[in-house]
This record gives sequence, C-alpha cells and structure tokens, in this order.
Amino acid sequence: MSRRRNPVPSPRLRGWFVADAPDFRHRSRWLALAFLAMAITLTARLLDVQVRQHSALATAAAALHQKSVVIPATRGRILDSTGRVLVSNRTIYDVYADPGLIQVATRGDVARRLAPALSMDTTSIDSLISKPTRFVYLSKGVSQDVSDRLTALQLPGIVVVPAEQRVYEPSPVGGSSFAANLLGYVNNDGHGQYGLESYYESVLHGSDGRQSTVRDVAGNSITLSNDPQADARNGNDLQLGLDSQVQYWAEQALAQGVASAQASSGTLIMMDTKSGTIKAWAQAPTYDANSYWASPIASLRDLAVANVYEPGSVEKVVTFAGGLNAHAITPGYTFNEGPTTINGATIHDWDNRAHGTINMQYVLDLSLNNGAIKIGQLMGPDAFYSNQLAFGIGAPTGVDLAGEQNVPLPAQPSQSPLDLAEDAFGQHVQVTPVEVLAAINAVANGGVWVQPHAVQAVIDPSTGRSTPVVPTTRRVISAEAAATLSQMMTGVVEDKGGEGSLARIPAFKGQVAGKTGTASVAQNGRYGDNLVVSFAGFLPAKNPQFTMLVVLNYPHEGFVQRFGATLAAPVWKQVAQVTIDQWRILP
Amino acid sequence: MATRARPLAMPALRLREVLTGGRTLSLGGADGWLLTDIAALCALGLVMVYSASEALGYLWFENPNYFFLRQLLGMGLGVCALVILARTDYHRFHRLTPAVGLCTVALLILVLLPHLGTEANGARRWFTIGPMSVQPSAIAILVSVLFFARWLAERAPAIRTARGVRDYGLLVGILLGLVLLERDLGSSIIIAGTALALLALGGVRKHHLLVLLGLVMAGGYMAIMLVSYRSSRVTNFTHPCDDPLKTGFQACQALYALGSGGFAGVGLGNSVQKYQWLPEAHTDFIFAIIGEELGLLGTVSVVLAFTLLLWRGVRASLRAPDAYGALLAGGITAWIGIQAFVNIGAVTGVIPTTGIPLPFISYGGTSLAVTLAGVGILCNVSAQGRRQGVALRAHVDRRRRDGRSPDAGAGSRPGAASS
Repeated sequence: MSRRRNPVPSPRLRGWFVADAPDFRHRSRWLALAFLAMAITLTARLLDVQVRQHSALATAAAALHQKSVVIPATRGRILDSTGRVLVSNRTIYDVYADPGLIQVATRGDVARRLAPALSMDTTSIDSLISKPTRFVYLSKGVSQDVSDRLTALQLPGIVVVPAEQRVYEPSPVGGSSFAANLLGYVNNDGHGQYGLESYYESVLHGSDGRQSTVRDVAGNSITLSNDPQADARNGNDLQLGLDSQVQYWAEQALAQGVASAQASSGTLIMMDTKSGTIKAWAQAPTYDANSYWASPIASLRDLAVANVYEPGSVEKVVTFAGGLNAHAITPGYTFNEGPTTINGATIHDWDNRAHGTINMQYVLDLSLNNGAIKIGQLMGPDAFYSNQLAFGIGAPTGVDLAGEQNVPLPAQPSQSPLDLAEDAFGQHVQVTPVEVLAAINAVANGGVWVQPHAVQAVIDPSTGRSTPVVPTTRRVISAEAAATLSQMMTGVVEDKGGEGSLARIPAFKGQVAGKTGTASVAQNGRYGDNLVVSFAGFLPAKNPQFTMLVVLNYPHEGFVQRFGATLAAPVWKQVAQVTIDQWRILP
Repeated sequence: MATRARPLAMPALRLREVLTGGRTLSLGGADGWLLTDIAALCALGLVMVYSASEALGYLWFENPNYFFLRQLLGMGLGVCALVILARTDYHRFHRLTPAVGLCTVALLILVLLPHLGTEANGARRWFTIGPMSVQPSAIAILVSVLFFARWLAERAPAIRTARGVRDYGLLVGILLGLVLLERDLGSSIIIAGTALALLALGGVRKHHLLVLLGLVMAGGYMAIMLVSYRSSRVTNFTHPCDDPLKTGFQACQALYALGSGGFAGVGLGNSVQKYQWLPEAHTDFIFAIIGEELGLLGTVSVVLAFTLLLWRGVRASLRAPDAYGALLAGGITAWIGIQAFVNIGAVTGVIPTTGIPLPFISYGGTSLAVTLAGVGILCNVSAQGRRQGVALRAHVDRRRRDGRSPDAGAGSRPGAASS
C-alpha cells in the first residue's frame, strides 16, 4: 500500500530496463541549448525580414499584387449649331477564338454553328480555328445582335469583346463622311487625328478612370474594401457653329465645282462674319472618317489650314484696305495705269494691257496688278508691310483645328521693292485659305479681325454646363475704311466689266461683296502653268452675315477661262444662295 | 400519496460526464504550462488555417470551410489521442512498440502500391479514408521516437560502443530509406534529426556523435544534390527573389508575406499572399501568412510558444522517472522542436525549403493528430516525473534508506553521468 502512495519508481518498474544502466538525462540540457540557439536564430531572422526589410519587401509585394484596371471614359460627342449630333459613339464587338480551347474533334461542329451567326462560310472559320495559335480574330466590329447570338451559342474558346467606335454621318458626296476634314477621326488607339478630334483631344477624351485592385496569382481581382478608385470622367461634348444645312450644300457644290474644273482639289470655308464661328468647311476630295484607313493620306489633310498657297488677286483686298485706312487712296483716286518696271522686271496686268487714266474702283473691278502696286507705292513700304501684318498675312489664325500651317512674311528689311510690289497683288506671299478668309472677314466685320473658330461652346454632359469659346478680336482698319472697301467690293460683282459678275445674286443687287483671285503657282523658283483660282466674298455688304472663300487648286489646263471669276465664283454663288435661303437673309 | 409533480426539467447535461463515461476527467496532473501552450498554438492554428485556406477552399471545393472542417476533425482525433495517452502510463508503450513499429513499416510499404495509396504532386504517400487522408510517414515519426527510445533504453551500455552505434545507425537508415521511398524528404529530415537527438540523450560517446553528425550531413548533402528539384531549392534559398517567378517563387513569396506584415501585420484575414501567391499557404507555409497578418508580434509569439513548449519538454525529460521516460520525452521534444525549426527556418529563408508542416498550426490532419498524440505521451512522462520530483523533495530521507543512488536530478551532477 505504501508503495502505491509513494511514486518513487519501484525496482520492478526499473526492471523494464537494463538494471543500473547509466543515466544520461542531463544531456537533455543539450537539447535546451540547441533549442535556444534555434529560437534566437529565428527571432533575429524575423526581425531582419519583418522590420529591417519591411518596406522593401512590402513595396515589392504590392507591386506584384496591384492591378490597375482602366475604366475607359466615353468620348464626347460633336454637335452642330442646332444640336444635331454629327459624331457619336456606338459599341461594337470583336470576335476572336482561342483555338487551344477548341477540341480538335469539335472544330467542324464549332465552325458549322458559328458560320450563320458570323455570316461567314464554314470552311474559312474551320481554317481559322485550326491555326496553331492561341488568338485569332474571326470578325471585327460586329453588332450587338451578332454578339448576343454568339454568346447564346456558349462555345468554348470563342470570345466576344466590346469596343467603342466613333460614328460619323454620311456626306451627300459619295464615299465620304460629313464635314470629314473639319471633324477629323479617331484612330484605332482611341486618339483623335486631324481636325477637331485632334485639336480637342483632351476635351473630347475626358479622363479614363482607374481602379487599383489587388489581384491573385491568376490575375483575378480581389475585392477589398479600401481599393483606391478614380471614376472615369467622360469627355465633353463640342457644340459647333457649323450649319449642317449649309455644309450639306457646300460639300455638294464644291465637289461639283472641283469636278467640272477638273481641279486637283478644292476648299470651301465660310465663317459667321461677326462671331467668327465656322459655318461651313468643305473639302474635295475628302474621305470617309468611318473607314479612314482606306482613304489616301492626301485626302485626310485639312487643306483649309494646312495648304499654303499664293492667294493672287484676293490679296488686293488687303492692299486696298491698307490704302483706304491710311487715306493714301480713295475709290475715286485717278492715275495713269500701265505696266510697272521695278529693278528691271516689268509687271503686266492679266490682260497685258495699259488701261490709261482710271480710278481705284476700276482697278479693283478689273483686278489690275499695276493698280495694286500703285497703292503700295502711295502707302510707302513701312505702312504697306505693317498693314499686311495687321491682317494676319503669314501668321496662324489660331483656328481651333489641328495642323494649321503658316509661312511667316519675310522680315521687312529683306523685302525688295519688287517683293513688296508682288505682295500687293498676292504673289510672293504665302497664305492658307483660313488666313485669307479671316482677312477678308475683317473688312466685312467693319475693320475688326475675328479669330475663326469651329467650336462655339464646350458642354459638360454630366452637368449640362456650357463653356463658350471666346475668339480673339483686334481692330485692323477703321470702320469707315472697311465700309468704303465693302462698297467697292460690291462693284467687283455688279459693275460692268467686274471680275466677279458670275457671283451676282439678283435679289441682292449691290449687296454681294467679293473679290476674285487667280494665282500662278511657283514651281522650282518659276511661275509655271498651274494656277490656284479663288473667290472670296460676303453679303449683304451693308450688314454682312457670312464671309466665304472658295479655292480651287490646279484646274485643268485645257480650260481657256482658268480664272477665279469663272471657276470659283459660281460655286461661291451657289452656296451663298443656299445660305440666304437657310438663314432667311434679307437684302 | 399524491405524487409530487417532478419539475419538468431536462436532466442536467454534464458534458464532462458524457465525455468520460461518468468518471472525472483528469489528465493525471499533466503539465499545465505545456497544455496551455499547446492549446494556444492549436487555437492559433485553427484560425490561421481558416484564414489561409478560405479562398482556396472556395476556389477548389466551393466551400470556404473545406480545409477548416477537416483540420477540426484532425484536431478532435488528436485531442482524444492526447487525453488517452496522457492518462496511459508510458511504460505500456514499451511492450507495444514492436507491434506498432511493424504496422508502421507495413503501412509505409503499402502506401507505395497503386490503388492503395493516393498520389499527389508526384509523390504517393497518402491513404484516403473517407474525408481524411492519412500519411504514414507522419505516423512514422512518432513511432520512430517510441522505437528508438525503447531500443536505447534497453541497450544503454551497448550504445557506448561503436558496434551499438552502428546497429542504431543501420536501423535509422532502414527507416529513412522507407520514408525516402515516398519522396518525403521533410519527414526523413525530422526522423534523422530526432534519432540523432535520441542517440545523444541515450548516452552515446561524444566522438561517436561527432562522427555521426558528419555522416548525416554528408548523406543529407548527397540526398539533396542527387535530386535536381531539391538541389534547385537549395541553390536558390539564399536569394530567392532574384528569380521570384521561377525557382525561387515560393521562398520569395514567403519573404514577401513576412515582409509585408511588418511589426503589427496587415490584420487577421487581410493577407493577400494567401490568394495563391504563396503556394501551400495553409500547409507548409502557414507561418508566412501568420507573419503577414499578425506581423512580428505574431511570429515572435509563435517562436516563444514553441520555445516554452520545448522548455517544458526538456524539463519533463530531465525529471523523468527513468531513462525510458527521459528518452521518450526528449525524443518527442526534439521532434517537435526540429520540425518547428525546419519549417520556420524554411519559411524565413534560414534553411532551404523542405516540405514539412508546422506542428499544431499547419493544415494536415495526420500530422496534427500524431503531434498531439506525441504531446499526450510527453504529458504522461511529465506528470510521472513531477510526482516523483515532489516526492523526491518530500522524502529525501526515505530514499536514502532505500540505499539507492538518486536518479532524478542526477544530471545536475556531472559525476553521476559518467558513473
């Protein structure tokens, strides 16, 4: 009994083992030391990894975990002056296959089922999904309807991904889209190219949203509560000053004008005289922005801002404005007109005649070069040169369209008397159509130059808030000089022998102010056979509503009457009449 | 006569009585420090297994609780084993050891046979029984402790000869060969380390021990370098993040997890690495998830908990009533300690990666149950030793009268060791 209470091992218990075996229990202390060493090693290592290397490892891990998902912003629309949508977006679908997920035995079946949905034939689908790749496009840009049908088929390895596409309205001229060169297009990467799409890229694009999430090793997002997120800010809409009705007719009229003149290209631009907003912006040949990739590069270029040319006699308006503003001339100023010889070079008029004693109105009506030279001589080189600068000749207008070009006027000291003489009638100077339009418009607008601009207002679609675009303006000549010149320009159209008689509009007798231009094109330092013919004008002369310029480049040499008066003026008149009807302009 | 209406009350459900069949449950004076420590580790293990495996469970089985519930099952079995073994006099294992050892060897061979064993990750090392899978190599670790402790206790004088050491080495080698057949390097490392520790505790001469250590290291080096997937682990362990998406992937992801945790961790349940970035996040690499979610506070706590466990184990070994008990307690302690070190060392990049679970914490039913069973035996040795220790202090005079040399505490006197 006592043994039971006494837990000291009994001899019987010890008898399980070899009797009196040496006992090495104390060696357990070795274990204790070893464990202590292990614990110290591990703790030191943990301090190293979790404290010393904490930030470096945490950063590296976060870089591996973070996944940034872009939430694309919806691109802004473009509207005409009445709110009609010119450019919008639609969702299209690209269909691709991962042949690796399609079992070989089922290929035929998959192709048979896809064929009707994709409107493709079975064999071509079969060959596509038999390719030894993991990605092959079956069809691009299919509609929602087709996408739904494909999704319903539930075929493995067939993927439909949505994409946003820009939609441009059709033009009355076949094979092109409406106001294509004004609007530009959006390329495959979602970036605007040319025109408004490019100039207003940041406004239209908005800012893509970004959601930063943590991802697992397969790339799946793990939704945690504190994911930083930036919502997409959709692009703003652009409200244009463009008049779609006028544009519609302008595109047709210009296309016809270019075709009948067999010109290489043409430009028709019109601006609201007082506000400076662009009302029509046509080009021929132009392109289809819905399939811009299929169009020749030359047609993508916006000639109105990018084509530098010598304006010819249209430039005389600037010369006359300077003369009248400086009181160097009056419409009735008379002088003896004839060929001028400067530095050994003799300049003739277009008709190679000497016209004797005539007045300035006659010079403008008949577009006589030597009369314009006379004005320059009367003004003196300094005033003449600064007048050109004031009208923005050789300077960019700052129109809100991409790709505007300009060739600055050569510095005044480098201008010889012959250069200045040629400037007076529009050779030697290099301008773009939009520069000329703005210059003529300054005369129409009572002597105040207004910056041409396509966009009237930027509209935030989420708030509806509209931010107007304010153009810069500057007074170039006095209101009296402008009024006098406007009156003189009506003579170009109305007077007997006036160059612009083909622009006459019966109801607006004496109210159509215009100027023709026919310029030789310099090639290899010499003026060759190619011409640029143009007509600029505005109406009604007393209170102009619009200013329009028509330029036809390189009309066919077979025409005897290769003049702005004969080729460009009729186009101008046609569009002016439409505009009068549309705007209910009264004489 | 009228019978008084007995109150309509449910008989008090006495959980303790239900569990113990009416007897009072007692662990026989088991070490409270040890049990508290184990309970804390197991509780943390359950929480962390849930946290680390919910995503995987959902992904693979559409059940976030999949791994958690199985771990709970393993833990239930393990706690039963612990309670039973803690209440069983460890001397009984002495007689049972040969039979248990033979059964284990049989299982180790049977699991290699197709249809019987289940293959996963290129190794056939599991039996699938219902919802559980049993891994014989995990059982083999505990059985090897029982076996070698008995062998050493029986041959205490012989082990001090080279012949005895050779015989012991051969036995260990055979067992290691069987475990390595299952391509289970982790378990064989634990078995080798534990056998070596037992040999030291069993009284082997120091120069024999040094020679053996050299042999084991050379053998380990060969075993690693001959198998390419192991050698790539070793060559990459020093700078795992040099190639974080290839060979060093797992080790590097473990460092990312630990490093992201920093001092206080990203918070329980907030690990990102568990989303399949870190392979085996709920099993062998669960320590990294602890580091990520609970930070240095969590990881150092775990290291401290293991250190406490090992201290209590060493204490039990020192106070064991006899050599067999000391060897059992020391062997089990060494096993758990080595396994914890190998696991945490691999996760922290101190040593190369080996596939071995972290005791009490990693997912793995067999390993958990077997470890808890081992702790049960440790508890029993500890309880007997403490009773003896108390008795020793209380009955110094009686022991003298017995005319026996004092055995407990003999280790405190170097003279006793060489007697």
